[in-house]
Amino acid sequence: MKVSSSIKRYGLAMAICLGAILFAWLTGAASCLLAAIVVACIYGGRGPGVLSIAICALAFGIFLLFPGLYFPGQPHVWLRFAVFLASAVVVVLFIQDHRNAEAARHAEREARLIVESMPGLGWSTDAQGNFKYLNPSVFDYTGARCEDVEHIDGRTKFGEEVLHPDEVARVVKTWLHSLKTGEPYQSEHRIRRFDGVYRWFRAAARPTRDRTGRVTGWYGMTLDIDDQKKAEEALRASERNLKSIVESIPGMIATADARGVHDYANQRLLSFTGTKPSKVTESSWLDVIHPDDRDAASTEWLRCKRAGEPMNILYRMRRFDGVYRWFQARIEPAFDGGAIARWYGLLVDVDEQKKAEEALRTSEQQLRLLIDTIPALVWCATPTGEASYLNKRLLDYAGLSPEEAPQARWKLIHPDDLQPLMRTWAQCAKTGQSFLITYRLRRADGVYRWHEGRSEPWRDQAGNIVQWYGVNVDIDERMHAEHELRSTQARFLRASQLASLAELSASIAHEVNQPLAAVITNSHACQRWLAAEPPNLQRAQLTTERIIRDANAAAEVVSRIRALFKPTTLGRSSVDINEVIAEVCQLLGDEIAAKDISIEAALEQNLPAILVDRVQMQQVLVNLIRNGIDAMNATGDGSKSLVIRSRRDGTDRVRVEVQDYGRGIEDTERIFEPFFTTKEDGMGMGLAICRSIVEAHDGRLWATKGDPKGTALSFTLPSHSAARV
Amino acid sequence: MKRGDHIVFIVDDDPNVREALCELLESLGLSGVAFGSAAEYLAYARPDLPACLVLDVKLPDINGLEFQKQIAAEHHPPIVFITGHGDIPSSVGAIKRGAVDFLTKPFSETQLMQAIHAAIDQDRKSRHETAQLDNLQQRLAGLTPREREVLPLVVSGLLNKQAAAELGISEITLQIHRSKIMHKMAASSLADLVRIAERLHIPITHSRRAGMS
Repeated sequence: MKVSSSIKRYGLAMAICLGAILFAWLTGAASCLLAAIVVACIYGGRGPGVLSIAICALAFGIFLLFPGLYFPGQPHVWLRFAVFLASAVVVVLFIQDHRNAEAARHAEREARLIVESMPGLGWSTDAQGNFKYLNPSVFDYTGARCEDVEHIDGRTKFGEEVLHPDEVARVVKTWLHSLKTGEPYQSEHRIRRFDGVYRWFRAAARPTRDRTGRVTGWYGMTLDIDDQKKAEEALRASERNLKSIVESIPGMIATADARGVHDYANQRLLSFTGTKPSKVTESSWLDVIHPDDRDAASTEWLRCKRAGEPMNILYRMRRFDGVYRWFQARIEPAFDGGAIARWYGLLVDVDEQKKAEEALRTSEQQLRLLIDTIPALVWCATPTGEASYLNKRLLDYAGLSPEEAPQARWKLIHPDDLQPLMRTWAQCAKTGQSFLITYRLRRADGVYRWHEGRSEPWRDQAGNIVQWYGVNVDIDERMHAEHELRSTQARFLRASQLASLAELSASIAHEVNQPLAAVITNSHACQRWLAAEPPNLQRAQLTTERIIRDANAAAEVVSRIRALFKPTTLGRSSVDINEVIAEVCQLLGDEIAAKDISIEAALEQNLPAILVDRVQMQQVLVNLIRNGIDAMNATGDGSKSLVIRSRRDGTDRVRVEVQDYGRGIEDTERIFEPFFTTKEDGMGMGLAICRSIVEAHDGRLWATKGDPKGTALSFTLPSHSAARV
Repeated sequence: MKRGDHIVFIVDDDPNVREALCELLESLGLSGVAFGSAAEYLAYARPDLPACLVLDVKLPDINGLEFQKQIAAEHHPPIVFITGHGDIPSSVGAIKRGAVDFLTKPFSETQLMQAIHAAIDQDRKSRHETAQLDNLQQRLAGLTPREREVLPLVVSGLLNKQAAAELGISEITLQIHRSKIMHKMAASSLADLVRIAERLHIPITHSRRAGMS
């Protein structure tokens, strides 16, 4: 029993004292007063004790002063003894009880001290859940005062007030559940601090029970776990974040234990392969690799596992629908104390890239094939002229290996063509113009063949030449064909322009013989008609007319032929005779070379120009040179050289001399007569025509015997200024 | 040579020459037809007479020598070439291919006439031979198959006995065949029959000596 109010305590002490005085008066035994003092002291405390001593002392004094004052007068001795004994027993009992209560109070003080000094909110309730005790930390934390708790109706409201509104319902439910069942109470919730901040707490309470097992109250402790909670929260957030990174990363992630057994695969990988998450550990990563890549992957994996090295490999992986796609797999080991603890793998889909690469490679291969197959020699050169690339055909052509190619390039060119080529190249390298040149290129067997080389520069954006791209086409056959064609053309030219005398004579013969044949035949017919018996004069007359007609036709042909050779001043121009000589020598170049004759031209420079028909002059020179060639060809011995000289003759004439070293001629004048010839197939017209041409130009043509042998044919022509126009 | 038993074809592109040639032929009493080109000549329906072809080398549509080669396979009269400008190789070639002559313009009447006459004679002779051969061929065609078997044996000079043995028939039968052959082939004697057989290119398949051994 605890009496807290002082008025009550004093009242109680006085009541006890008055009771004891009354009992003493009735029994006459004052010893019960001592028992009253003890009880009043124990229950009332010090003040009421002193008051009770005073009252009892006063009563005891009165009783001593006035002994007859006791109620029956003289109390019985035995009664007094019995009262004394009872009082002693009461005193002992009360003192004993008081001592127990004191010990309990002490224990409680101790306990409170522990509870109050604990780092948490300590509290206790009765069996109904009403707060019995709240330690100071509660008040410190919530900022509530003791009165607030006291005055709360039903007491539990205090708890509800400080709880976070979101959690009140849950916490109350849990608490009521524990109250009802007696199960230990446990909850995590936020509690408002004095400054309004909510912090996380973990509350735990256990019930106390009496001997019968009935719940007598609850003792609880509410611990601040806010920091821990926040750390957990942060950890969870970080985990969540990490997971979302792992799942949303544009790659496939897998982990494996030290042996290489899969223990995790991200969603991307799972959905790619169509594996269920639960099956991750069962499936082998090798199963989904393309059979062609499997061995390589397996070998590499074993090697890396043994060496503890990261693995980086490309392989095709099967998609859930059976389609294989290229992946780049990078797998890194994680070490734990020197031993491999885990493997972390990242698989990146490189299919597009790989296909693009393949397409590029294919296209490059095709291009290379194209470059190597086209019937041309392809090359690239740096701006300084070093070969950076030669196609296979070029290497094969030159018989070079790719290594020796860059140095050998210039060595392949014919020495005669090297100089002009270098010049052109230098020019193009300087100006950046495209390049076109024909030159001879040495083949592997040492044969030089004509090539046409074309090159274009490739420039960067700034316009600087980065590379030269060149192509060489073998034009050897074309060159030869062109050469053939040129000489054929030259022959045709000679035939038409320079009047091949054999053909000319054939045509003259035909033209003239045709009417002559008619004349003769008609003459015979006429003769027959006249000789007939009788003579057929009518027919003879007819044939005679025809004879006249045909004879005139023959004459007409002859005059037409004469007209052909008739000199004309039309078509004359001012020419340098040396040029004409050069032209004719070039024209006859093949013939001269074929007959193994050397031509020696001794031409005086700066000769005055002459006014001539260029073609006729060519005709004259060709005839003279040919005669010389034929003359030397006929002897077949000695040096076959023909000398052509040109020089000034006097002040206003030009003289040209063609000298051969043939067997010579007897009569230097007869050779100019028509139909005089020393040649088997000659017609004897050449020199006659030449002389007529020269004379038509107011010139002179004559022959002299050579020294020591041969013949020299010379002609002079007036210079332009001196010519008669 | 009478008018109407021959014909001379002239092919020359020069009308004056054609005219003159026709005139000359006429004055000599020969019949001639002139053409300006090879095509005109080919288009002409030639009469079945001994003939001669006077051919100019230079023709507007074809070279005369080339034309000679083309018609070599067919039956054409012998050719006399005339040309304004003759060269040795082409004349040799023409003669080799059977030309009668190769005359260079202007030619004399004698030259031309000799060549034309020679050509016509040659044609006439070959026509006669062809006709005779045709006749003989017809007679040969009139023989029975058995007689055609007997003929080579007889002309080979086998005795009747040998020939009969060869064919497995009696000598009498053979003699009958033989006399029928002589009659059908119009041979007056065995020697005549042998000559006919030779012209018909009937092979001598047996010899009496071989048969006896």
